[in-house]
Order: sequence, then C-alpha cells, then structure tokens
Amino acid sequence: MWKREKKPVVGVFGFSGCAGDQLAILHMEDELVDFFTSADIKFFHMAQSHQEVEHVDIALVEGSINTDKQLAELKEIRKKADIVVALGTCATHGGIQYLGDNEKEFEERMLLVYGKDGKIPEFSELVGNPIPAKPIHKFIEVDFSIPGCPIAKENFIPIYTKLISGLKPSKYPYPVCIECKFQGNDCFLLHGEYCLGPVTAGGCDACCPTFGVPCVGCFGAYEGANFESMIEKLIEIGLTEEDAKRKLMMFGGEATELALKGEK
Amino acid sequence: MKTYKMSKDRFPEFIELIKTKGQLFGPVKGNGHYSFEKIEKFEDLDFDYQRTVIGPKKFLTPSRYPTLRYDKTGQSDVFVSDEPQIVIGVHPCDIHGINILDRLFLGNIKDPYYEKRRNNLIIIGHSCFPDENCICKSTGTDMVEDGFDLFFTELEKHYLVWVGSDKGLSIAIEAENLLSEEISEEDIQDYVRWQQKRSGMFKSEIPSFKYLADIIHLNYDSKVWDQFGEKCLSCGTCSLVCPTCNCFNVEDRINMNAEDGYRERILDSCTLPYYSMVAGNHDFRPDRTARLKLYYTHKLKEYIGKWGQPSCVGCGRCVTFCPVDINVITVSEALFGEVCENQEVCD
Amino acid sequence: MTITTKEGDHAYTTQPAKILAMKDLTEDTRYFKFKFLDESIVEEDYKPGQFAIMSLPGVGEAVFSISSPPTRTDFIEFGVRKVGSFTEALFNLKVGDIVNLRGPYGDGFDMESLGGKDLIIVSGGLGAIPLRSVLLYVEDRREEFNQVFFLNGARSPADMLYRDDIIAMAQRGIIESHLSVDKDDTGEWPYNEGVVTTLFPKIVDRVVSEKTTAIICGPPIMYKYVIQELLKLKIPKDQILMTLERRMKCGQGHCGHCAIGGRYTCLEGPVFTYYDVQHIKELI
Repeated sequence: MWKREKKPVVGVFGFSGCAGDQLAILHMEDELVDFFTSADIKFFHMAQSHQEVEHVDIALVEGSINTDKQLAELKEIRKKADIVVALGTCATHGGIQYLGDNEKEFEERMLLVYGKDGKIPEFSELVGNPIPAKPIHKFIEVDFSIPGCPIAKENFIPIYTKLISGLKPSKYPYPVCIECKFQGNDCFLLHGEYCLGPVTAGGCDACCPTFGVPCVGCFGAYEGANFESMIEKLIEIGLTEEDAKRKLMMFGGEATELALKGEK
Repeated sequence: MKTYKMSKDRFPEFIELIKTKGQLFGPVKGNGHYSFEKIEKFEDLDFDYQRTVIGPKKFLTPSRYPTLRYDKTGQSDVFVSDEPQIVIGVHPCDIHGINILDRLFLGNIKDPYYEKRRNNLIIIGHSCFPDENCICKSTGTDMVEDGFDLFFTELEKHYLVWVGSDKGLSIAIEAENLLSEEISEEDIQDYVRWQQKRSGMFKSEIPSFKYLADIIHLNYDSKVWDQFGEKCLSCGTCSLVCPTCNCFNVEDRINMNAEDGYRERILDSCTLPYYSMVAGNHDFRPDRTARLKLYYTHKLKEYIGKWGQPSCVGCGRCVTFCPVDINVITVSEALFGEVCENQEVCD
Repeated sequence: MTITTKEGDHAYTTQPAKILAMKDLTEDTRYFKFKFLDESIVEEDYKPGQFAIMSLPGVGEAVFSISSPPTRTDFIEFGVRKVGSFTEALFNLKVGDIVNLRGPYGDGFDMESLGGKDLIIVSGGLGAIPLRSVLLYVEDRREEFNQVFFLNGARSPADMLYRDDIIAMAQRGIIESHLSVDKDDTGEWPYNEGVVTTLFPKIVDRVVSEKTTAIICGPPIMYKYVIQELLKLKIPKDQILMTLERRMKCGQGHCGHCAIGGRYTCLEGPVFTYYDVQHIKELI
C-alpha cells in the first residue's frame, strides 16, 4: 500500500483563461468533499477569498501567461512549489489565445483594440504589461501536464490522486479515438465530417463524439499524432489545407505549430 | 449437433423465454450504426445488420474494468457477478473471434477475469448476408461449427436452430413448444437455396489468403510497410474494433479520497507510440511502420505458427472503420501487388 | 518460488513478501532481499534468467529479473534501478515493508544442461542483475562447470554493479573476471577502459569453441557487437544465450506487449539463443 506521511499542501492558481479548469474541479460534485479533505487546499483562486501561501507541495496552475506581472507571479509559484502541474490547455499549450502569438501581429492587434499606441498605463499597473500568450512551461519547469478545455475529471483524478499520494503518474499517450471506440462510436471521418480525434490527446472519454459533436482538439496534440496524414484526410473530405491547419491550430499551441512547420 | 426448426412468428416468444435466463443483449441500431445493447423487448432487436462497431468481445474483454480493489487494510480480487449474460444475433465471424480469444485466454494459463465472463456468457448466433467489406469467405470463417450455444439460420419462413452446447440444449428443451424436430425435404432445399444465395453475395476477398502468411514473411522488408506507416494515424481504431485484438494495459488508480483505489485493465493497441517502450524509455518500436508491421504480421502470419490459423476472422471491421484505409484487404493487396510489380506473376 | 499453488489462487494471485534487506548498489540501483510471509513457499523453483512481477497496490505492477540463484533458498533477491514511477515508490519502502510478488515467469538459463561446459558470461550495465543469479549458481555448484569467464562492462566505475562480490569470486578462483568501464572518470580504475568487447582479447586463446556456452545480458545496443566477437570465437549459434528485455504487463502471454513475431517474451523468453535471433525478426 502507498504511504502518506501527511496531507500534502495544494494550491490552485489561475492566470489567463476562462477559469474553466478551476470550475471543472468545483463541478466534480461526487468527489468534491474528498477533494477538499484528501489534501490541504491552502489556496484556491476561485473558491476561497483568503489567500496567503508560503509553500505548497503541489501547485495546480491554470491559464496562459499574458503579462509580465503574471510571469513574475508564476516564477514565485515555482519557488514555492515542489511540484508544478499545468492544468488545462491554456497552461499546457497556451490555449486559443496562443493564436495571437506572432509578435508583429500582436502589436498590430493591441493597436487595433486599444487605439493610441497600444499601451494602456492604467491596465499595466493592475494586470501588468501584456505579452503574447504562452504556456507556462515556456517560463518555468513543469512537472506534469493535464490538458483539456476544460480538463476532464476522468483524466484529472487519476493523475492528481497519484500526486497527492506521493506517487509519480505514469504516461501512456493515446488519442481521442481510443476512448471513442471504447464508447462504441462510429467515425465522423468516414462520413465526410471533420474530426480531430486521431491527432488529439485522449483523456476526455470522447465526450464530444459520443454526443454527436466532432472533436475540435481541445486537449492539444497527441504525442503520436500523424499530422501529415491527418491533413490529407481532411483535404479528402473537403477542407482546404489552410482550413485543416487552422482547425489543428485552434488548441494546438506551439507543439502543433512546430509539427505543422515540419520542425518536430 | 441437434437441429430444430422454428417458425418465425414464434421468435418473439423465444426472446421472452431467454430473457428469463439473464441479461439479454442483441444488435440494436442507433446513431446510424449497430451495437450490442441491452434488450428490453423483442422490437429493440434488429437482425438485419452487417457488423457492430465493437463485436461481442466487449462482453469478454471490456474496454476497461477493475481486477483488484485495495485500501489501507488490504486488497481483494474483483470478479463479475454470476448473473448470465446472453448475447443474441452474433454472426459466424464474431463467434470465430470468440473462439480465438478463448484459445488465448483459456489455454495453458487461464485468465481468471476472462474465464468468469466466458462461463457466464450464452452465445446465440444468427445467420447473415455479407456486404462489400465482408471477407470471411477468404478467411474461411463464413460458417461456424462451434463456439455458440444456439445458432439461428434465418430461412424464408423458418429458422433452423442449431444446438452447439449443453447450455444451448437445455434452452432448446425448455423452448420445446416453440421448436420442431421435424425437418422436411423442403426445409433442406430452403437451406441449400439460402446457402447458394449467400455464397453468391460475397464481393470482396483477400487474394490468395492461403499463402498470404508466406507473402508477408517474404515481403518483410518491403517498402509497402513504410507507405502504410506514413499513412497510419496510430489511432488504435483497428485494434479496438478487431474481434481478436485483446492487448491490454494495466493501471493502478487511486480514488479522490486517497484512501482506496483499484487496478484497472484497459484495452490497448499495438499502434500506439509507447506500446513497446520499457522502463528507462527505450522504445523497441519507435516508428509507426514497425508497429503496423507487428499488427499485421502478428494477426495474419505469426498466429498461424502458434495456433494453426490466422487471427483474422474476415468481419470487415478494419475495412469499415480505419479512417485511412489501412486494413487486411489493402495490406494484402499491396503485398501481393509488390510481388506482381516485380515479377509479373500475377496476371 | 512457484507462488500460485493454493486452492482459490489464480494466474494473478500475488503473495506478500517482506523486505529483509536493502542496499544501494550504485547511485540509482538498489539491492532488495525478500522473504515470503507464507512459510510454505520455498524460494527455489526457478531458473536464473527468470523474472517475477512485483505489485504495489495503488502504484502498479512491474517486472524484475530475479538476481538470486535457486541454490540459495529462504529468500529471493532483486536488483532494481530507479527509472520510473514504480521503482520510485519501491525505493521509498523500508525494511520490513511488504511487496506482493507473482511468478516466476519466462524461460531462464537451463544451468543443469550446461554441466561440464566452459562459460563466457558477458554483462553490460544492468545486465549484471540477472547474471548475478547465474554467477551465484556457478559459485554454489562450481564442480559442475569447467572454465568460467566473466566479462563485465559498465559506464563508469561508480556504475559497476556487485564489484566487490565479483572481485572476491575471482580471487577465490570461482570465475576469471575481466572488468571494463566505458570511461574512467575517477583516475583510480585499475582495470580495462573501453566497451565490453575490448575484453575479448584477454580470453581468446583459452576459449574452446565447441565446449563453450556464452551467456549475455546488457543494454539493447550491446548484443550485436558481443555476438560478433563470440562468432569470431566460433561459438556455436545455439550455445550463445542471451536474455532480452521487453515491455510486459501480464507475464502470461495475454497482454500482448512483449510479442516478438509470434513469440511472447514472457513465455518463450526472456532467454533466447543466437539461433533464435537469426530466425526471429526484431529480436535484437
């Protein structure tokens, strides 16, 4: 049997994103009491008002980094935490906001949205100076990644409970198709509809395809993804190459970007 | 083998009878495809189908199931209950698939989890007509002699009901008033006509299936494998839909209370990237080509050496469900094509 | 240690064993000594080269070569390198803690059939762990074997396993040992420097090809080069034995992961001959 000397101290931190991953934790109704009792939740951005923390054993970090102030906070968290877990696709891949990552485009967009010189002094003080959205591993060492938009409890719980038990979660990458076939579903791609299941990391129990909605790739790229063949397939069912790549990039972040450029 | 005749209009009564024997499952249409689902009433059943996405292997090696539970005080095995499961409408190919799984899981070393499920399972087969993806005639699994408890061959007006086991026989005896032992000359002619009709309906075949294993062996280093490797999505669909693929992973889970948990078996696929990786991250099959080659050589060639027959039962699921058309037909055609291209022997 | 023998046991039944002793062998490799709680289990019914599966509820199961010989009963030993989630948890255990075991699995080295032979035992890195079982078997039944050469390669002096034990065995004349490290980073390594194959010149003039059986275990990359040396020495193909590693989940030919061609390493391996290597694609 595994041994726990004491309840680990856990902090749940949030940066840029919709906070959907924190919400997903709070939505685990059947497990919620256990979540708050099996570990010492010292910090939970969304769920608690009093928030002071010196040290955490495990930091669950949600959201991408979009300002210099966030970056400084993130580095503080890394100093305080023994284990840092990137929670949700914004933290693991940069999220949808990663699409604005191109430096030049980014400057243009700031100008377009905020006018003047694209600088907003009153915001800068509050949230810091904006920088292009990046996943947290670009700035600090990340020990484990739990992608998802939002995270799925089926994927989150087994990884999280190993961590709070002092164990290392094992890694075995598989795509959405595996769980889609576990559910006994037919395949969208066979009926001329796009679906990104074959190139998307699994863990969601294929919830979208099971309810008749094709996979949009919200868990980011599957480690064994064959993008070339996937794009060929998407073109075969009527997408242009550009559209296919856009769809793949929606949640894909840097990993997919590099893969599509043939740099991985 | 004892054979009975049953009038088609008595079939609903038969369904009512076997429903009393345990949980009944059968082919059901939903969302444009078929699957074996729990049957509440006769009308749920739809026998006019070619293939379910997942075959009856889901009753024997489910996609994921616990094998052990543990807490701070100890551990205990998890077995399914004794309640029988009855699956009706199983086609010959899928019964062959179960026979192959039986050979693996109930051979010298018996898998206790499989054994328990298998002992609880009553298999009632049903005849079928092929579509363009059925290749069971090539694989010699279009007919089935054993592995079922009862088998229904649907003729014009009647069913021929074949008894395949003691369990099947006792059901037949109980259903005495629905069955007749008198099979007339006309019934036999009906049966022959049915056979001829069905036989003429096969549209697909695997070329020279009898020596496909040799061709695979001789073409081991063929560039055909690389071509398929480039195309393969490593999505695992072929393994999960195949009635004989049984590879599994084992993972220990801890519940949210961090006090107890369970060991889980999860179906796996040899096309997945870490399938052959060992501790320390050495990967014996890092590329898709090597993994795909394992899939097809294991299924179509190596199984013959081990068990005397390939583990393809011609159900056509890989043909139907692989999104990029890698399947027993395209692979064998490509390998034979290679031979033809190089030696002009195939005209 | 045929573990699954009692009524109600099945293929996955494990038996609890207590950790009697632990000792660090290198920075990341540790020696473990177990004793089954059930006194009726005698730890002798296995061959060197066979393996067992350890289970820690909540953590999982993992495969380990047995490193003690069947000639020494009352305990069973392993050498474990910390490389993953299971071994990390195992390293956190203390003496007296319980680990569940099942096995033994696979086909090992048939030591009895090697009686009267010369042995060349070639070890690389962690390969010394299963080969320790062979060496200790030889020590306990020394009279059954003729010349025994032991060639060991390690990355560095600090990475060499069982150094003192091997030197002691050599001093007592049980084996003739030749040790090498890829690179001596200490400046104090008194033996050979270079890959393990550079040790062959030290034994070449005393090898009697027909009488010799070679036993190899090491990292995947090593086999090809060692086999070349053995073939140069004209050792018959079926007298070149090696034990190979593969991913395994069940140990009973069911989970599929260790399949090489039509063979399951867990049933028909992990010991193969060079003759097998020639006939089975993908083996090395």
